[in-house]
Amino acid sequence: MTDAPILRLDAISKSFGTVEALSDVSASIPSGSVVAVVGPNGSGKTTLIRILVGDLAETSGSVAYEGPEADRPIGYLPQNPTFRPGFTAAETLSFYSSLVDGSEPEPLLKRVGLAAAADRNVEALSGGMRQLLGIAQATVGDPPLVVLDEPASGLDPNMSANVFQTAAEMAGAGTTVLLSSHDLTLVEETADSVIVLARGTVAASGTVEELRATFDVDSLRGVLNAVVEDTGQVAVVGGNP
Amino acid sequence: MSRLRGFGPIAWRELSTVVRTRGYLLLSVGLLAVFVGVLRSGGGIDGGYVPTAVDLLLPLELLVPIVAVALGYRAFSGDNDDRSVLRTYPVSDRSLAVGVFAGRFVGLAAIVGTPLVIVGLVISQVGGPPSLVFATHQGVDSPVLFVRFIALTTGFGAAVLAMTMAASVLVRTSRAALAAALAVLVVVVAGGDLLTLTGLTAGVLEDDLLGTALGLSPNAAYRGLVLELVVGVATDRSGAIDIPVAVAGLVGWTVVGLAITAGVGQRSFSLLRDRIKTRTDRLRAALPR
Repeated sequence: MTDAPILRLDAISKSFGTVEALSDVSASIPSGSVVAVVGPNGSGKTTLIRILVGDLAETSGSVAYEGPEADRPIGYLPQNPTFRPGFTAAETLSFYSSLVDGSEPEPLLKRVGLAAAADRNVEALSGGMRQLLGIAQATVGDPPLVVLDEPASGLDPNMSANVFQTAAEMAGAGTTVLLSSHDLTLVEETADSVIVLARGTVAASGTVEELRATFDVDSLRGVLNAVVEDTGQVAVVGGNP
Repeated sequence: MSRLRGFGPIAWRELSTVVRTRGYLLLSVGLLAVFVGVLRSGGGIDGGYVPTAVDLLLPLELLVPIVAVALGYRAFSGDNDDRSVLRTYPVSDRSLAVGVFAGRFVGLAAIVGTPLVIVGLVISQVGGPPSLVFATHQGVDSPVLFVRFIALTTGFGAAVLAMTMAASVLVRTSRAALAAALAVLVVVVAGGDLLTLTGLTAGVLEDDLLGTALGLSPNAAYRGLVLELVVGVATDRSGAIDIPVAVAGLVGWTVVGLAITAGVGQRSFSLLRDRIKTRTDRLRAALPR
């Protein structure tokens, strides 16, 4: 990990009609680290991620990529990845590879443990396998920054741990990984730093240790509870994108 | 980034999608069955290429838009929509729109063109009076005229396909995409003619502007071009439509459709949509319940 940021978010705000989903969000993502975005449902995690990968236009503020020049600077796993029916897992990755470096799909499939399903049609993959294919897709072209929106969604505990382990290995190899997750235990074990979102704003940020110390709690769950004052209700601040 | 980088793989993926979807093959077989039925009852096939084109013209005005809508409305909906991911690749919105259009257009040309080619081959074996390859004067039937008919038919399909794609990207859900595509179908099949008729009866449209007005409606432009450039060559009938306007109309609808499809991905469009939603929300909030 280096101190140089790969991505800088400056006063990002996003409104859907009269509903403000994000308000004045600023952050910098250090190179070669695993950064986690956590927060309750409706806190704006997915909206923020969609803005920083360029899928959604911010209402105000700016996103600046400051990493190395690359054909594909940012790789992205959406919250609900879609794949073209009728194509195999290998064909799917070959298509995306053909848009950048044209590399073979096998190493990407192997990295996420899907090598045995290379010739299986995407509609015949389980939910977890589709998620893994999505993660493989996010790494096509070796982007310096990989953004994963809830990568452990739909995965069993072992596979979830495997995904977070893969993220840590990628960071060890110099790739920056930004992910959102509700699995706070895995976030605690893996993330170098954490951004806590609540009601569309950055409620806290720092390393796990710093956050624990700041809020005088012994876990990330404690931090989250302290920040959002858990009411048991979903915070509805977003709108339809 | 090259303006059309990624065009080839995207077009190839769309074409592969069409080829792998059995429903589209059935659609082509269904078209052939309809053509056979129409020609058996109309008897055009016994008269040669031009009478066959006349018999098929009216059904194709409905069937081509149906095929185009079937191909276009799913181009950016459901599992076919990976635009959020493609935005992280070096693929411009223009490449995406043109690539998807090109791949699906080749599919449309095959679905509609194959049964028409089969009909043409049957005419060459059994069809009416002796035909010349080159129709050098009026009153001569020719396979070239039938090839021209096929080309005009696929050109009409291209315009409707581009319009359907544009309608489907303007909405967000698969269900809304289908509704928007069906709206395009209604507008293409009946809207232009009805609008022109209304204009004439209301006195808004002068008689001498009729050919121009019809040229701006996709199906009337197609019909007029077939009557002028296929039927009109073999008969002494002409003046059905203003040919340059009709050609410009079909090309224009295609280009506008593609421009909208490419433009919807732009940040400026996204911001414009947000502003419209904000104003709409405020207006709704201001209205008494």
